Amino acid sequence: MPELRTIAPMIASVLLLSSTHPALGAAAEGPVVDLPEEDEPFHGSTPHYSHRPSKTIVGGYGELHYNYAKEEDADEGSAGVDLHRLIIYVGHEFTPGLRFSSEIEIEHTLAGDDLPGEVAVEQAYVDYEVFDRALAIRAGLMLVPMGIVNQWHEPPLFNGVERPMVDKLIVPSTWREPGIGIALSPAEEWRFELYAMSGLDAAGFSLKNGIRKGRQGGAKAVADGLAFTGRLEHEPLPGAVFGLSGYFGSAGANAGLDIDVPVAGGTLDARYKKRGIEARAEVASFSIGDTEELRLTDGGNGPDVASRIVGFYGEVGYDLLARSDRSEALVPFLRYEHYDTASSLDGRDKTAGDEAYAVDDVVVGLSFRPVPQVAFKGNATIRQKGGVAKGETLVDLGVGFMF
Amino acid sequence: MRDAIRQRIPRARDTLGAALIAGALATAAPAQGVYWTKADLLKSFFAECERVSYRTIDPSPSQAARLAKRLGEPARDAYTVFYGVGKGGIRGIALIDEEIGQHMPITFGVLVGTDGAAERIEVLVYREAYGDEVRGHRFTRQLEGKRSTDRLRVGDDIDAISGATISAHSLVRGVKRCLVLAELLVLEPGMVEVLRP
Repeated sequence: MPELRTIAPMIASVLLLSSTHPALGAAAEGPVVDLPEEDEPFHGSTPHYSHRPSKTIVGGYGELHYNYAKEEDADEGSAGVDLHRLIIYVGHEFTPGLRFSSEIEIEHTLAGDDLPGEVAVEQAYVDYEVFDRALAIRAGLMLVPMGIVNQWHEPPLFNGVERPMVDKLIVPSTWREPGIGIALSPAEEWRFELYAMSGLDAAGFSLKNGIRKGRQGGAKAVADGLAFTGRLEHEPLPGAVFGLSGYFGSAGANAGLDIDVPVAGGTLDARYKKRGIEARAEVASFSIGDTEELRLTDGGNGPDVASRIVGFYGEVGYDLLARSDRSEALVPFLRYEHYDTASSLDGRDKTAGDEAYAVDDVVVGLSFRPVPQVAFKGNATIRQKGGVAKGETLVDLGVGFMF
Repeated sequence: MRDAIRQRIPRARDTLGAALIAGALATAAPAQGVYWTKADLLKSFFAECERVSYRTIDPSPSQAARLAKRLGEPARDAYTVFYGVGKGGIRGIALIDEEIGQHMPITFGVLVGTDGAAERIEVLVYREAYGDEVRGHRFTRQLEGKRSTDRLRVGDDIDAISGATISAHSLVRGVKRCLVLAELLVLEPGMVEVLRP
């Protein structure tokens, strides 16, 4: 019996063929082609792929950070050094259109009881191309397609040692949930993803971290509350891309509550990388419902979370070596961020403590990329907090890599 | 519609027709992720020619040394170069090569004119989950007309596709290698001499 894989493209082709295609039959004419009997040799830096015994690929990425922070008016700051994350990528190609991809993460090197780190499966999904790249089915533990950094989180792909705070506290990167969905690319300048995934757990919501601790990540996740999320990307010119993402889910059921706690969010982002200029901007906002009722659960000790969390940033950099005869990249950059995990509160007034969650960061830094897959990074951050909270000065140094 | 789909339509229909006649639906349909076979791409590259042939070239020691210097990697023992022959003689040369993307190799072909300029670039097989936008003409047309001595630097004269940065660097590196190979192995020593049957 034929496999579905074999028949599906044929059926789809027949459905799409409304009239005789001009290219039909062209392959039968044209020149006579002599081909070497052996497909060797290839000139690439790797042995010819089809001659490899294994279609299993190992890769990875990681980043080492040095962080220094000093509070306003303090005499001395504090410093730390951390192998923040090391990720092992394992992929396997069953056929060119049927692939498995996974990332296993070790955070902060030491994982276990009373140790700072964790071992986690970051991604594990199967891609099945029903009709080439125009339509693929994707299922497994996948990244929630919100904002820029959650999907493109490898350290050489963003400036600054730490990820932008908006991509940490508003979009809780690295945010991944189990689910199933489709990836569509009907034309090369349009990309679209749509997934049904497990939702958030409202028990983890807080004023300080927003929805971040409500991520379930497929760890025996409660699947009583589902979420739907999608992203539309338009790239009118190579290197200039706009993205619009949406998220709708309910988080109450996953916390074992009778209340719904709906969560709706959106991000709007843009990236521009041409002629040495590297610029990006993102706006992210999530609305959380039933927060007043959520606070009253657990005898009034329920999670205290804002009804709206919001943030945005803009960043611009320039590759000083773009016009030189060097192949490396040296990119000074400037970023402004504003984020607030207590933007709106339902059922109670804002206190001075709540005001402190509104933060402005000005980040100045430098990235050096000897190859696109490796970045040495440094930056200084001036952080101002709302209300009477004290600001901070931060200095970060780091190295990141991917392969 | 994407070029890739157009490419698949004739092959898929041919396959279906053959299968119906043979009464066996399970004859070979092209695998997903494969956008061109080597033979189809060479036919398309040299559509106006009568014959496409190939020559396996063993670089001389001095060629190998110059290749290593220009490529930044050791030269191989042998290279295969395809060429199309029409009424007016040799129409151009083609190289089919691979370059590692982020995790998986990208198989691509370059048509090089007799003047040493890239005329057309196509991806035969793209294997990674992301970044296949480098297959599109919007990206590859930036490479058309480029010569081995051109800069070919992503971020300067070539723009990467967002989300396909590593694949863009890989494909550009591979195309530059093919242009250097065409120049040093075929054009510089005299195309007619090198490709003489």
